[in-house]
Amino acid sequence: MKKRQLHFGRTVKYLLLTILVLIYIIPLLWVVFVSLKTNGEVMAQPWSLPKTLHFENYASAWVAGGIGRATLNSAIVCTITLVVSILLGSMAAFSISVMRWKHSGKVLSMFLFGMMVPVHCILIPLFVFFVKLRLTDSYLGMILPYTAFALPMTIYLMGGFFTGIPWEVYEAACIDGCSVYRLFWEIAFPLARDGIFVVSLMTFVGNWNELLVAMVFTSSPGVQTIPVRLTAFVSPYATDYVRMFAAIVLAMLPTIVVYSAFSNKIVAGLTAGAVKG
Amino acid sequence: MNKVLRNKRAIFIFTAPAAAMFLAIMLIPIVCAIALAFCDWNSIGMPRFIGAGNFVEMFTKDKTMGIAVRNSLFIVVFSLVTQQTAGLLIAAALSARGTRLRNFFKNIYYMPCVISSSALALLFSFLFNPNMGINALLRIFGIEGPLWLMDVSWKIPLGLWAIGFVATWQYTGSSMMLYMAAIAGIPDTYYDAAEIDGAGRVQSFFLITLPLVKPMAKISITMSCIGSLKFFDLIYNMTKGGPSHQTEVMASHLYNSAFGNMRFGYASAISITIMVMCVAVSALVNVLIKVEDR
Amino acid sequence: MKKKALACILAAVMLSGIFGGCGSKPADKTLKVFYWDDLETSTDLTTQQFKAAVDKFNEADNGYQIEMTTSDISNYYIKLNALVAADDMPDVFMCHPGNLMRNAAESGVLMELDDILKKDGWYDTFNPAYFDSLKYGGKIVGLPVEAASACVFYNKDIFAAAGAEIPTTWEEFLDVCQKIRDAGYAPIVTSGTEDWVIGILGGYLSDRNGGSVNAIVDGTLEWTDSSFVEAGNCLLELVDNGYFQDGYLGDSNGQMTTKFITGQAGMMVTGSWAISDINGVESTVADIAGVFPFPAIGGASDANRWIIKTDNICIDHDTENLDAAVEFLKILTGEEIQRNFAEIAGRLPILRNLEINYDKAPVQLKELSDYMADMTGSFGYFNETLSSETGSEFNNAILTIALKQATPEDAFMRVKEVSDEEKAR
Repeated sequence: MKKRQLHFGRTVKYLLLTILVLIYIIPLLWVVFVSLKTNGEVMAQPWSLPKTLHFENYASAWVAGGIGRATLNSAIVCTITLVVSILLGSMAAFSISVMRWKHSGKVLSMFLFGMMVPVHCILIPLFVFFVKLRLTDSYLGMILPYTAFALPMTIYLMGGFFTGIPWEVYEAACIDGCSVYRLFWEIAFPLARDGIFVVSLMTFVGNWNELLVAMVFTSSPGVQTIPVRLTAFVSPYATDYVRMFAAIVLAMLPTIVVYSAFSNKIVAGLTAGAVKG
Repeated sequence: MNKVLRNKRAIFIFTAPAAAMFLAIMLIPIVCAIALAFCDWNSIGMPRFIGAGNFVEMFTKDKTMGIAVRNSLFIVVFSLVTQQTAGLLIAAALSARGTRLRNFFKNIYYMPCVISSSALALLFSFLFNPNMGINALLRIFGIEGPLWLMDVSWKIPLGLWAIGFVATWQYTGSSMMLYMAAIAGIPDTYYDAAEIDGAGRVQSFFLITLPLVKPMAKISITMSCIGSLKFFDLIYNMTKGGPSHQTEVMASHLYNSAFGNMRFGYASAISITIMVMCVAVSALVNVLIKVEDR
Repeated sequence: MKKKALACILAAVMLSGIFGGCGSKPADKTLKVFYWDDLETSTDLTTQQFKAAVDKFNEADNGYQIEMTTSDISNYYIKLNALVAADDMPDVFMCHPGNLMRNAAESGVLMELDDILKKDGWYDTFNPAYFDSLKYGGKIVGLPVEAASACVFYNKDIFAAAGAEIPTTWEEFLDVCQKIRDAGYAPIVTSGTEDWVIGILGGYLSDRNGGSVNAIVDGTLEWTDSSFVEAGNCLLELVDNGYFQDGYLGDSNGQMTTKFITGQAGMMVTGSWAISDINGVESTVADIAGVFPFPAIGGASDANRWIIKTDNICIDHDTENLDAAVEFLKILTGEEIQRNFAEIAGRLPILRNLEINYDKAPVQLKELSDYMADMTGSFGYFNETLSSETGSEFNNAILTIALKQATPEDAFMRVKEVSDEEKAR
């Protein structure tokens, strides 16, 4: 009896999961289809399959849009932001959530407050500030704001993961005579691995698509990131959808590779169990 | 152990870099933004101090702000209910032992988070276009579909529900990832023990998974609420807040005030309102979801 | 021996030519130019002429190279504001006429161009009418680069099939709409999702009913005037008789244009920039599309009043590279580039007495120029001429009237409220 119930339950589950896949994939497929059409086709019959496959849109987007260089820029900016924010963020998260001191709550609140600020409102003051520091139109001009924006979320999430490590683990390590630095590097950091991957994923992906700061802070194509280059396909009176979407697909591919790599690591931890001796 | 954890020097070394970087970059702009809320400024020349003038106007005369607040709260609730439940359920389903193609499913569900909001806005604008998209499909069955994004017959416009749906489509994968990471931290032994005790899958979910992901749920819910209060991209790219401001949210109203009407002081006042609401909502979540502290 | 030496010397000269001469010469100064479209990527014909002007400037031996900064149009003013606030101004930048230029002028970032124009008779090469909306405090603060006017595009074949003639009065216009509808085509295409499109129609309806936007700005006319209510009623006549395309409420500007250029609609009311779409690759109506002025409504109204908009360029008030900036502007407004704006991009040139080869130019441009020769007055787009909140409320009013969410009286009352509030601040 139980086996049949199990079977039914399992079929339903996979059926639902597959339907979900369709709900997710069909719009994404549409993006690919648009990139293979002509602009007239897109406006007249948005839903039809492309009449001919215009692969030249990709070549054109790559060259004219400077997507190659833009991908490199995005990769550099997002990766450095990622590394710095994870490092600084998890250290701060550890100290705030695990270590004991009077002002930890206030400091956490300060960071959380940073998460609540809408970007449009600090855009111009931040820009003026950076112009005075001569940091605009450079990698640093994007990495610094991105890291500052990423720290609150990193600290909040990593704090959650550090707190999620069973207290006994910390206790055992301390009893064994662990210094606090080793406690962080060799115990907490590795055990919160899933957290690191999740936060990395979200920080990377969030910054990859960030447009406003990148657009205002940079001017030369040499440092511009992908979202900025995508706007090059928007003219005052018309938008070149097909090449823009080709560029979007090109931009999506590296991110898919990166986040898949990170997210697969999270799942790998599922079968390993959390508490090791 | 206490000695280790109270090591002041270590606390400083751990916290100072992040705090320094954060303050160095964000402090001045945030202070400026807060100060500007009490001024009138059109981005050129000097700001003119007007006290609480912006706030008075916002709460007494600005009809659009009322609509914006209502719509933002709608998005908060809608996102919360849909994204968190769906995210958790999918995470639980995928995390179950022996799920085949787990990575494949997971990566597909996360993919929408990776696409730029403007591409998605375009895609779904076509989908919700009264001539094409869903309506074309409905027409086959002889049903005349509504105006979708331009429809304002309900109190909360249909367009807003549609955008809420798109937001769910885009961001459920994100909650899913968080919950999967949280579930990954639950030792298998708990589930083994439960199975031995005769608990079914559903029971395990409610008795083991749900309580143990509560800390992550609290974080995920708080972040979802804050993100929803700041929600901008999809609204702006799909309806621009129209028609006649019926789908306006606080962030789009801020954007229009700042960059459409050059009223940066007023825009800052709206930002402060958003921030205050974020604080209030976080505090509320904190109170409602009790997670044991050390 | 000698030959070898000669060859070496020639090679050295050639190599130095390759490495030394490519791109900018080392000692060149930069002229910073800010434009609202990407010069390299864009396929927009107008942008390409701008690029030609930039290239021409760079090739000239003037000791300067242009450093382009571009943004897409929707983020253009955000970036410009940020640059202004940070005192990091470009030397030369584009600006829309009307309230945006007024804002910029108020802040003192625009250089007054009167003296520069009067030198060497540069001013006399222009058609002076275009400077009307570019003045602040009586001084000229911007230079027109090219112009577009709003007109009614029509499909000659559809008109023939429906037995319709070009209307000159409102009654004739409605009649034409009915005939086209009976023939099975959409009489007028417009856009509901981008309210500035239907706002153009609203602007003409208002003006033809006596609601002049210039009078509003001067203060000699109030929003409560019956002319605006009448305009709203005219709009309702179009809506109620189904003279707009099905589903117009969900169509964007791009979709509207596509419907016209693929021959699905009889008429389209929009700016003459659409000439380049009509003659673009996706169009099937290049040879059968024509233009006519928006008809008069009622006896006193004048069909020779046109909505005109110029794309303008301004100089930073504190620029250190004035001569270079002026040289670039002279190229941009010079005969060669202006001719290209007309013949290739279908824009109206801003020079007086410019010889245009109308055989090369799009057909619609000749028709438009001929009609505009009789122009008796011009005004700008309502939303650009009015102050920003009032302007967007105007477009919004037109849309809500079309959506039947408000009566014309209520819609324009709302415009008045917004306008009063804005003035009070």
